[in-house]
Amino acid sequence: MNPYINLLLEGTLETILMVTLSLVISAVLGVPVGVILTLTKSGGIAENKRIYKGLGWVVNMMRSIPFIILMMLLIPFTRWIVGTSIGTIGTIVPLSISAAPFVARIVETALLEINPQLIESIVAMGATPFQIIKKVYFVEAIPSLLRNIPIIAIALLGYSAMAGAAGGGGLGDIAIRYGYYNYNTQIMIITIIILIALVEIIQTTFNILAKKLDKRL
Amino acid sequence: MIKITHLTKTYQVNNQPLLALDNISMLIEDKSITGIIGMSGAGKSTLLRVLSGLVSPDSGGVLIDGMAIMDMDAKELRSLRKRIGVVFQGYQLLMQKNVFKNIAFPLEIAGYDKEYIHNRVHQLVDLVGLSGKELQYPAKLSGGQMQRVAIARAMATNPSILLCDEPTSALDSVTTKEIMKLLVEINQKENVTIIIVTHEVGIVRSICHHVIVLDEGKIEEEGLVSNVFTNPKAQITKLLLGKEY
Repeated sequence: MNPYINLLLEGTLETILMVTLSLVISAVLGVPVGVILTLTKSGGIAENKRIYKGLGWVVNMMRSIPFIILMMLLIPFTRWIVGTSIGTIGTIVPLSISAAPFVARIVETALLEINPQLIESIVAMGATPFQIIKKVYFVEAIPSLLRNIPIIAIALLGYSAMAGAAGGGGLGDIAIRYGYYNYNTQIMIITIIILIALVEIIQTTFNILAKKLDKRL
Repeated sequence: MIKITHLTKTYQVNNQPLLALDNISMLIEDKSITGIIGMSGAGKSTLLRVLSGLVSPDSGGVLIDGMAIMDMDAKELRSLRKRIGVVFQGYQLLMQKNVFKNIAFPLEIAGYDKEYIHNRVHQLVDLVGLSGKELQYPAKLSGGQMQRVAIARAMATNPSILLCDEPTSALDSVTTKEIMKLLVEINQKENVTIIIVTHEVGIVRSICHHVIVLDEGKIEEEGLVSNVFTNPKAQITKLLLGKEY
């Protein structure tokens, strides 16, 4: 068992790194798209059918590509960006890109929960669109956004394990290589337990955070 | 002074044109309290939205202190909005911000410095009788208290006009009286012109100087409350006054 402890520890850290970094990068890519979708939707403060439909189409198209295919498709791009298409680093690129449209939709949904009459009242106060985004949308929607982060993070965790089977690093790689190909059931079970623990930790942390920061409760 | 001339606004509802405002003209004196009364769908809220620059009319004009709001670009409109406070139906408070932050909001977006905001918010909290509640969040307040916050927020930038959309529709009768009293107090202390849109006769009778009766987008009757309500001429006014006529 002992020689595997380091391996599992390393795998867990790699998985956490992959999920965290891809979460951050997908947020950087997806949040602005989600904001634009919200603003340009009919009834939004910068209503624009063409932009909303066009962007919505791109988001839907990207979401309909299965992750494992997207990963293969992106190999040349991934290599160009980070120099490699395998391992932990090579997995972060397709993970981020696959999660970005997901983030965009989740941001859109969270922002649309805000009462349009509230937005109207803020417009009537003379707020600029930028002030509305910064001081109203991203303040009022915080609890909802926090509740949605685990959904994305857990999806990324699942994808990262999948990527492990296709040359990525982390726990998925260990489960496949040591657990499956070497018939090491123990390793397989331990990786599963670690994955379950990670899911629980992510979900619980964000539930607590959302509850603490939601002033409506 | 607010001068409204030949205001017309049509909405498309299910591809059918709906005439919300039909050739409305009126004059509202400075520092008066005017009630705009009518049934649901009479065009009251549309009129209020035009006055606050949220909706542009199809034709006609609104002059506020001599400036035409139709000719304004986005920037001018934003600066005008700081001179018009609006108390929206349903309070429309920021639920994730406390009382202080809610009242400070219009000042913050207008770019005032921290010290000024601090002092002004404390004045306003005193004005609306919410001292000690500054750090509470709206979810913990009663309807009357939320309406006080909404009024304080609307008054934050020292507007010359205060528009109130159904300010008491969600409040019980005791709280309604308190809010009415507060509006009169603000009208006198802060020298602000108040326009109240409502369907409740009692509010108009108790605090308004002038009344404008709207029905199906048209002005049916207008004048001093004492005249209009004691001697109503239009059918709709009689209907609104109910049993008394």
